[in-house]
Amino acid sequence: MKRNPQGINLDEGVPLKGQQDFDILHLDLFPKETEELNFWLNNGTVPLRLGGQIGTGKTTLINKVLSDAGVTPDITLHFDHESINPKQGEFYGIALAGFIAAALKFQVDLSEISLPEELNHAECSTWETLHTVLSPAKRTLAAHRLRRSVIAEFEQDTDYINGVLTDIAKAITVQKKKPLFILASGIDKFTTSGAAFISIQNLLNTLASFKTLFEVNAVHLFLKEVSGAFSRTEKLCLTACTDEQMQALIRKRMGVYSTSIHDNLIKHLADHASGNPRQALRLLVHYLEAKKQRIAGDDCFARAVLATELDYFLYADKPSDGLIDVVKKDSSLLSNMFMLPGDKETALRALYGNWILITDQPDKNGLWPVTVNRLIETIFNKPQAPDEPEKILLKHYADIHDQSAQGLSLPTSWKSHQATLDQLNLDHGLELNLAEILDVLAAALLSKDRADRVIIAYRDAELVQPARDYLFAKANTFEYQACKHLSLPGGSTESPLEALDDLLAEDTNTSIDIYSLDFGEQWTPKQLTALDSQRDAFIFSQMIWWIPEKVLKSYLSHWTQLRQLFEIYILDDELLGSLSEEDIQADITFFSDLVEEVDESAPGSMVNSLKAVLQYLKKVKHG
Amino acid sequence: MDSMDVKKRRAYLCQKVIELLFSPSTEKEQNQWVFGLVGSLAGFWRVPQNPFTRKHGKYEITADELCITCLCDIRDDGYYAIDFTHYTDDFPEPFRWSQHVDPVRYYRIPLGAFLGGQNAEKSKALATITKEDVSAVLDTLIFHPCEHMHMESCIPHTIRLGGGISNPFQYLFHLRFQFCPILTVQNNEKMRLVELVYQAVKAKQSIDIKTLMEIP
Repeated sequence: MKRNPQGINLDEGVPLKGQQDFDILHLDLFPKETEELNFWLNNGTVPLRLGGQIGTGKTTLINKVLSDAGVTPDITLHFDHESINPKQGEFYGIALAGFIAAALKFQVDLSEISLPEELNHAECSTWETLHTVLSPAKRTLAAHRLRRSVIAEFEQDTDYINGVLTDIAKAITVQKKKPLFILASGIDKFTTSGAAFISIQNLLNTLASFKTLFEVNAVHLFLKEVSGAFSRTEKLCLTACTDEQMQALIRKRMGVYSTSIHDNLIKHLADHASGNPRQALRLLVHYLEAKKQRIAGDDCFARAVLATELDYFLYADKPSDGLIDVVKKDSSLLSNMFMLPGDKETALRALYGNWILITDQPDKNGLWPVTVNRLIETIFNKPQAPDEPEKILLKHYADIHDQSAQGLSLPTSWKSHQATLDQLNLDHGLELNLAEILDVLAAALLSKDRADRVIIAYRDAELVQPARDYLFAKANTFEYQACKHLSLPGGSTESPLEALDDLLAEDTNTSIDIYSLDFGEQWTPKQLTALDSQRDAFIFSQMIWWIPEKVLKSYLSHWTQLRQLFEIYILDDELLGSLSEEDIQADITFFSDLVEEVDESAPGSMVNSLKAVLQYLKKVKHG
Repeated sequence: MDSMDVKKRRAYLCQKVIELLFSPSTEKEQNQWVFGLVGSLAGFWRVPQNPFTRKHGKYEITADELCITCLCDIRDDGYYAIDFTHYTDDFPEPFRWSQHVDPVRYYRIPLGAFLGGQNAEKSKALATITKEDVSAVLDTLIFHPCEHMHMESCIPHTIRLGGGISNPFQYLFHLRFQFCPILTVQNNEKMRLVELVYQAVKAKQSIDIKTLMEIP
């Protein structure tokens, strides 16, 4: 991702990676944990679980510590973005590729292990060719399908593969004369009760025989340690940051432009970040989007809070009011609250979904300091009286101006947000027309240097094509961006994950800059959950996902991880209201004049898309 | 050479720079020029969003971080108008001002007629320019216009809005520079443009829009 030294740097909170990122954007938010991780790197012998809630900065911390130490893991396994299709065999394919690569790198003699010869694929009859098949250098559809076919062969014999992995690892250790260091990342994407996590257990058990750094979610730190993969591991937990750290992060991201935001507003944004760096960044993104629409200062803040709430919590499975009451009252929870068998409704859900945030390490009695996420405080035990939304708005206003709400009157300009405030119950999303959506997407779509993602929910399927044409047109305003659209129907007879995997692997003459995907209504819960665990496969792609509004609630409830990377909008039906034929025609005339080449130029592509939009508008308006 | 020669040399150079950088001729070239400029603003200002929209045939450029929008109307008869709006929470109404140039209705000294074209004196002057000459000329055209305004109550003192710029493309280009708050970018841009112009004048070559709008 392109960074702006001293300028403004916005993204969805993708991990920092590489020296440029660290030089421009890194803040030392976890000095103590950094020291502990460094100690483990140099001296540790047992595996380590590095855990933290979504958006705390786990991957950034790992990348930074390894970079500063000049250490590269012997084996790095990304379980969350090698493939969209996380079946058990896929996990073993990832592990095997990593282990073979290390063996080849260290020139280990693997002749005693006969796996390549035992497979019924001539293309991978040697260790070198097997590695090439499992980890192709170039993503092509053919390579992708061959890989899947080979994996299918050993999918039923994972015990045997576990043995192969162990043998390879031992051989590498003997050759290196040092313990093998493995980084196993992406496990944080799998909920403890999900099928994916269950299917990866045996593999994790194998990995836990070595000096392995497991990147996990906070919920994985509470797994019962009597048996299982993590029974032999140490734990290191990242907790929520301080408000001052969040202010520093916001200022860092704004660069020299940080003076353009009042200190007071930075403090309020930081406060509502609740110590979560990614949440802070999302609030900042939405704040700047609102500011661009010339909304007044403190109204921008209200809009930022609402939009971030919707991105992260719209239709998400809420924990019980009872749990939230306990946290509000006691600001703590005992460890065993997170380990209750069958507890799907309360503590673990609250933790995994960031409804509550761990603020510090536990005391010796296993009591964890926690707080309710500031963003969603107001929606629990929501008052039902008609005038209550205005009271909530008044509280926000008072907070921003460091005043007591007692006796305060709400300014007229704030009363206009009444409708917006009503949406704070998170039962429906922020409705915008297409031009408004474009305003907020402008940063996302108008630059190849960004890799942003949006979910657009629609009611009328007929609007999707012209809306998409319009967005594609605007995406090509300044530079040519290849846009590709695909329908991805789900359902028990479909394989949307494989289709998506194929799409991302497809070799075309022109690489795709923006993927547009229409999900349809039939995705099953299993398919949705599987997609959620592969969130990081999309981290470098610009995406527009179209989802029928009637299934948005169902889909989002399975996408706790995915929604961290997406902004969510609902397209209202007034397409005609937001687009003018005259403006579109003027743009066509203007950009046609700029066209130098017929094919594959930004103005050329824009003109074609705009013509499609104009045709639609004329058809609807004039018949 | 005595100081008069230096001043005359720089006068010729000034005119030459305007011809090289700020004189797209046809309507298409003018649109391409402006489009090239607005397309470079996000990178130059180091902001995430390209701050440009087209509204009813005019260009609107927004410098969000300064809370300023500029609505630009450029016509092919030399007329141009840039309407500035500074929107702020500190005052109930936005603060507005405009830069207008209307050579059709009002007399403008035709410096181009005296300094443009080909003549022996001009050729000799351009052949002997130094980088200091280029730096001085670019200062007065872009970086630190001799006649300029400071809008102290709403934008930083470091921003100098040139009041005597009659060329709309020069005016937009100087805004690109002035509205960039990053000193290192500005300094790098100065060095880049001095070198670019110096080499182009010496080699008697033109400068294309893409090269002109590169990000330092």
